[in-house]
Amino acid sequence: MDARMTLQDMARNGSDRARSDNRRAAILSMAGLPDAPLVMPRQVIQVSQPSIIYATQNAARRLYSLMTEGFGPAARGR
Amino acid sequence: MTVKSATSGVLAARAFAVLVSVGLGAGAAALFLQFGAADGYQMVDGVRAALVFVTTFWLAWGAMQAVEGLISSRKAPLPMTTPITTRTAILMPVYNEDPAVVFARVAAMDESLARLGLTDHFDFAILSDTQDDRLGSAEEDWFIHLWDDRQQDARKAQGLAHRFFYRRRQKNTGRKAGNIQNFFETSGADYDFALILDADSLMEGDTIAELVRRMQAEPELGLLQTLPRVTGATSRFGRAMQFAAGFYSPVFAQGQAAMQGVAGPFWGHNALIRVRAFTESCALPELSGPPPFGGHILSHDYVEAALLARAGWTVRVDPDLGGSFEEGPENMIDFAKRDRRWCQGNLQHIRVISAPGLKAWSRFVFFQGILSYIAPLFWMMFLASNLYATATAPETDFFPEPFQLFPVFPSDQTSKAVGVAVGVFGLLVFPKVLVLVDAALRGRVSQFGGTVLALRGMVRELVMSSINAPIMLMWQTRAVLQVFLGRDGGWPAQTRGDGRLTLAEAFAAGWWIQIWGIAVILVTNSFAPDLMLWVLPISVPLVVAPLVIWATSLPSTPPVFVTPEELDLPKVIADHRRIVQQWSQAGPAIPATVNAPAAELTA
Repeated sequence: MDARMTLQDMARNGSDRARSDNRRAAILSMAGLPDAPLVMPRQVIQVSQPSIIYATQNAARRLYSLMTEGFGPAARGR
Repeated sequence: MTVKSATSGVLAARAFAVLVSVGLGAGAAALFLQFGAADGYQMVDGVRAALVFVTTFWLAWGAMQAVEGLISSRKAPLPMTTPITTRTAILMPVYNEDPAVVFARVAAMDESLARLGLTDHFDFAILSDTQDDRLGSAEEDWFIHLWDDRQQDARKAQGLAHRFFYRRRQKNTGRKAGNIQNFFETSGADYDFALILDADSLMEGDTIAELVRRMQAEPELGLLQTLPRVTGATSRFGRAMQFAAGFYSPVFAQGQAAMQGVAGPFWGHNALIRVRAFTESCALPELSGPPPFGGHILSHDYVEAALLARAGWTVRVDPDLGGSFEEGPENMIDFAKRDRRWCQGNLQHIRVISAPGLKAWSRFVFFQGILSYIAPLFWMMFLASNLYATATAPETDFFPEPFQLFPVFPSDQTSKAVGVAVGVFGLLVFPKVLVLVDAALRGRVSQFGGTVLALRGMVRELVMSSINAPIMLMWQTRAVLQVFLGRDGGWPAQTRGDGRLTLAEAFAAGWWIQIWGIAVILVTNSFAPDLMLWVLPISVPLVVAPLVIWATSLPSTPPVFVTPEELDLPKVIADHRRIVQQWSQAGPAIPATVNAPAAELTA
């Protein structure tokens, strides 16, 4: 008798767990981010080609840009 | 106020602050040069004067922000009552956090919005970058708990869309900036605005609503930043910082606001952004080369603010907005860890400061951030150059000319050096005294327990910060040198909890500072004993650094350092504590690893 009840309990517990897992999976799937994409164009914040700097900037600004651009590599000893 | 008069007001505020700061720096340098060159000019005297100029300018600039804040202080406008017609996503990025505590914050903010009847205008998205799979699984369990707690099934049964979303990235590319960008590239088109939070952020519903109304009213406004109040601190260090942030920061932030124009700050969280503005102008590239100067931009918030302003959007901080909260570090070690990350992030801006098309003020903000971390180096160099100058000072020559009958006594210029020292100390204390006087006159002190308690808090915070400052200076100097030597600080753990340290932990973090303190005393005693009295206020805290680190991590309770939030707990914080308590009895289990890794405090 006890053994049969234990088996019933186990079966019921297994079924509850399966139901709970299914519900969990369904909610997590439903709660995924909505599909409404926006394009984010990559911004230019680093002028990496000296020729561009030379073409568009005056002398003082050129010097300033080169100093600030060069600071990182110099600090890394490259 | 017209746009033209507002612009001229901003320019006048900037010019006033710059002129006074440069003037005070130049005056201090001139005085110090007279003192240093009293025994004949040497190269080191010029170096010392230059260092005095830079350090005094920097202190004066800080003081001027308080002055500007007091001058420009206005009565807060009445809350707007216009209907909300827009949709806002409230974004909660998480990275290896305790999901119960963080998701309870989401529930508390939703309750706050529900009391206003505004929930239909707001969705919550939990954007997880958690890299620990067990913790990720726990997050999913707690999300189901949140879903049930916020009755989303019942909402769906009524035919309404659910308002809570959860997404976990397997790889945290771009860290927080990449996490947010991923949200917009997936779901941005569904929303007009997004409220960006940190895992420790809490905001009242009416503050969120006011942000939205202000942004609805100003179509050119791209980002509106609140001034988050630090709450929940329990240690001596944490509560001192919490008091200082609550008492002084509103005035300093008002000063910033007076000078920012359209190029205001973004501190990475507790701010509302216009989705279109952000997506059009804030996709950050990786910087060329490896970290620490290359790679992903660590302090992305400053860069995003600059890019928004570059694209013509207004970026603004409104310090009058209350109801915005965050947590802070509880001990000096956690503070130093966070500062290491901020240091690297700010120094990385050396690569960004020359970005094309930025507004001049945005470049100046980058410069400020860089200088704030390099300034300790100037103080160290000033100390070293003084030791050198004193040790190598020429013997006094009373008969400089041949066959001179009467001796020539060098004029004593010591009073000028003392004057500079007093002035520098004044620049540190002056803004705090001004804020106290202003708070007493306007009645703001009542929120801090009255004038006497506020004065006690101010004096105690001043003493504590004077003792802590040399230790912080050592950490900052080490951080700057590490970054310049190319060492990446990575993404170190930010500990939550009461932050209490053992003496062993404090010693492990501070022994090398002790050694420097002893070395400074020995070197001064050997080469420049006359300077010993000047050096002791710096060297003694260094020698006892482990004790200071340990003692400041011990618990602290009111009345000293009492803050408005401790006297009258804001509703959203009370709700959060209640929900955490309820959930701790009925929610899923939390993995033991939860407190090991880190939370992203900033951005």
